[in-house]
Amino acid sequence: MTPTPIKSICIVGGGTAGWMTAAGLSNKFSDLDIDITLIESEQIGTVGVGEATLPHIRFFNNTLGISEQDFMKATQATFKLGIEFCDWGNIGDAYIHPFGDFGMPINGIEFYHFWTKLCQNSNTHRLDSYSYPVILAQNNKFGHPSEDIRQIESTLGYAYQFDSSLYGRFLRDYAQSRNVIRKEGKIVTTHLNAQNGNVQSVQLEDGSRHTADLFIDCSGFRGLLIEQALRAGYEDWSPWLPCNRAIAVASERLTDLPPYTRATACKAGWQWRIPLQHRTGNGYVYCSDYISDDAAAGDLLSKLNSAPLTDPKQLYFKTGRRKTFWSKNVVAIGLSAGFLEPLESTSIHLIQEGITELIQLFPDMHMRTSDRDEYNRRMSLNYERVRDFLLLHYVATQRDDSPMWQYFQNMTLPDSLQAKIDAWKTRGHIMKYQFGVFLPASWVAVMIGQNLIPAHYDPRVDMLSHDRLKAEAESLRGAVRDGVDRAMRHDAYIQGYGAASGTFAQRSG
Amino acid sequence: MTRAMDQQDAPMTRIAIIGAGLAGQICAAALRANLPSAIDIKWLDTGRDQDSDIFYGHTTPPESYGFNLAACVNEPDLVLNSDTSFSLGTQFTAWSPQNLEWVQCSHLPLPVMDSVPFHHHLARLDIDNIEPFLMPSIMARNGRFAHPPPNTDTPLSRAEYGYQIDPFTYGRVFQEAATQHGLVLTNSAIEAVCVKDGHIRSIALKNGEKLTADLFIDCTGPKASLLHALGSAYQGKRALFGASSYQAQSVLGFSCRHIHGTDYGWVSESALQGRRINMSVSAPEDKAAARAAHNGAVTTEADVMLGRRDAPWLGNCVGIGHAAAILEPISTAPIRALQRDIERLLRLIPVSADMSVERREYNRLFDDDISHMHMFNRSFFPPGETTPSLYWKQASEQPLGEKLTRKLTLFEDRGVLVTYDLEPFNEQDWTILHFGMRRTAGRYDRVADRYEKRDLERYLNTMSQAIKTLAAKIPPHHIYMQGLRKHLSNRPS
Repeated sequence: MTPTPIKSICIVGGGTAGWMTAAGLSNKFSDLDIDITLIESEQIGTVGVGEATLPHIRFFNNTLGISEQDFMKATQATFKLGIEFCDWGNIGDAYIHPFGDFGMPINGIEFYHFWTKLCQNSNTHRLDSYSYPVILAQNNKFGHPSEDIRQIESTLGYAYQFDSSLYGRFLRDYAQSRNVIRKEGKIVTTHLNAQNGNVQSVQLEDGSRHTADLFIDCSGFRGLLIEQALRAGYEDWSPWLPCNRAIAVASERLTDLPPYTRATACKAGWQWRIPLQHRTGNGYVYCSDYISDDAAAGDLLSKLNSAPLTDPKQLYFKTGRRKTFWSKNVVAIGLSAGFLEPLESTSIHLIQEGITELIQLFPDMHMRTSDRDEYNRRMSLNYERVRDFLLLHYVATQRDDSPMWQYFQNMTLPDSLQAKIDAWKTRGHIMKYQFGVFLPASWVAVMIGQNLIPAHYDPRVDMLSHDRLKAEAESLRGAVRDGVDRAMRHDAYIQGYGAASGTFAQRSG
Repeated sequence: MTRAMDQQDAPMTRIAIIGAGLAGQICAAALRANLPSAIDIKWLDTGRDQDSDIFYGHTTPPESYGFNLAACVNEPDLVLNSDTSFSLGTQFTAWSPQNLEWVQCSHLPLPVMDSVPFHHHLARLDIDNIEPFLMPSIMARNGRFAHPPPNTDTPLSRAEYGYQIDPFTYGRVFQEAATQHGLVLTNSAIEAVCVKDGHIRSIALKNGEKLTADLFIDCTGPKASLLHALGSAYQGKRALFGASSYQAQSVLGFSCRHIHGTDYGWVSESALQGRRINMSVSAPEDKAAARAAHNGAVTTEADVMLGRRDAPWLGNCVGIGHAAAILEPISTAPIRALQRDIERLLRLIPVSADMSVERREYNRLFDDDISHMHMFNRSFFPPGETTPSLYWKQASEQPLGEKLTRKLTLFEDRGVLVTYDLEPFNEQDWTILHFGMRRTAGRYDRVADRYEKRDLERYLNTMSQAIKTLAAKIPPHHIYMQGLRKHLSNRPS
């Protein structure tokens, strides 16, 4: 088959997913002969999920050539060092899942094995105290990672917390300046090609038709093309992740700008708190079997750390993923591809993965099955591995104080997750993988944070004498403390870095 | 607590390594160097039956350097105390009925321009030979060698190297290291393996002693004496015959192994210090032809069945190396498999007598590693070759499987490298193999079109010229080795 290049792409939907896709593709294909159009309707609101992100987003922004300061100002962004999980292992517990490691490996063996040994010998310091990003976060401080790997300051990664609708707008400007055509209008009909079943065109309310060679479905939960037109099917994961509703409300900005997101476990779900420069994002993800919408709203409002700025907004969803992410000539990216609760800030990351894989496997007019299969294989793996990691939070717990927690206590886990937990509990072994967003350090953070302490450590740890080990651990803890002492406060750092938005500078000034 | 549970919880303190061929020697050195002295290690040599060790092949991958260091065997030891030499890869000639010719070398990641992998740019210019852009390949072809410097400015720093080895002399360096660290090698054949409830309770030795341990490591080669006693199943895939011979050589040969395809299979030459080691491989039916390649000088020969155990860890016994799987030594897969077996075992040394968690995880990882290595080896043979030669016919009739089909389809169709979790062969290994096997991408990443063809041609030309010029300045393998030996011998000890 001679390659016949795709000449036109139509992105359906202009939320975060739509504009991220438009920006990514327009950057990748600039000065190639491909027209990109994005159709969005102002009548249809966007969900604006994922105000908190993972470090990978920096790579996305860098590829686009976006200046960090410009982007932060435009999106009211703050730095994010990790997520603080409250009340997960037990009510009253708290731990931070940082972007970065706990300590440095010794003789090729991860530090937490040594820590496990210290604990068995009456060490009382938490694993946290050996993690620079955790202590930095607890002190509301921030600094960019050092490139000198000998410095403790090199042991952190970071992401952002931002206003995702502002991020969408920011990327819209970016994409439009790179010749992406924005079309305003509501899609009423999808026309399929009778021969091959591909989507041929979409028809807008005003009767105009828009054709394209490739469609990207960023239409949100409903999956206008992937589901409503192509019937790709949905794999329901609610037996594992039963939360099915969320309520969101914005409140005043926090005085001490925390460089981390907070996720607090509740009786019927969990609540988030995301500090931005101009406001704080709050929400409650819950399962309607265990709490009513009104009670959830009341609970959320009663627990805000600052005065509310908006009325609560209700969201409905079903966790799971599309059976095929790419079907015919339609690729679903964003909520149309699947939904996993934003407990670990993966929504934007999964959009980014979808774009990256699409670029790698970008089709030509032949739309080969092999490209689609490979894309679907890669994305399934991504979603499934995130699912297992999210589920870990609910099952690595001692809580049984409500019907929801009892439900998790009685659950039969996916084999893949059960094996991981067993390997961890027996000997602190992480069943690591190469493809999937959460590295071993993340699994360690959650399991130890939720009181799953391995019964044994790696026997090779005993090669190091106990005195040496104690000395090394103490020196590491000291380096963490000193590093944190040297670091600046998060809000001051944003100002000094030139990343403060107008409103932020004014209020802080 | 019941007695049974008591035993399950008992700490694991005694390991017995059975077998003293290459697998046993490397395993003994690595375990003794990495495990605390509270873990007692016994080591048993059950007799001289290491002939099948020739099927570990005569080259090692770049990972051997670090692996060996962790086993307390450093490069100077190998160079001074064995006939080991350097390997930049394997040069194939007359390979397969298609008569292919290339150097399978190891390389750090190739240049990526505008996020487009290197080979897409070559595909755009219809360049079907990647070799001029691979420093180790050009050096290997010209028999040159120098250690790659850590400096990234020179093409030499992109090269990776392993060793050319004789499994018998290479293994002895590890044995020496193990002994120096206090491991005692006992000699005795096995009288009987005492098995109860799927576990080895003890081994009765011909010398009248009884060997007990918590964990038994089966390094007895293809016969897998211990695993066999436990009823382990072996999935045999292809029978092969191999023969090897030595040839004295006063001047050290080239810095790569040479494999030449023949009607009966293939023949290889590897350059060692002071001699050359030759190996021929065929289907068992063509033994005579494979033997004849050595002009009557065959020193070692072996019949093996390529394949793998269903599960190399059964009860309290783990099979390492050939006891677990036998791969054809056309690539570095056999040594990689052995190294990975040992690394995997070190990460999963049981913490108590109940080894169920370790066993399951070990077998899972083994399964991935072996199937990935088999996939790489399988890719040396075009599928469905019609030829009168048994070897080539059987090799090309092996099923591809779903994962490899995906890899081949995506590469041949569009130059995309499909990668699975933690594969032993990296993207460069695959790219170089695809080019060697004349698998070309039907289309390339359109973003490559951003470059003016003229600019791209100029860039590639400069790159290959720089490699050619530098390679000519690098000393021949034997001169470099002489200098290195002199330097190492003059070191203050």
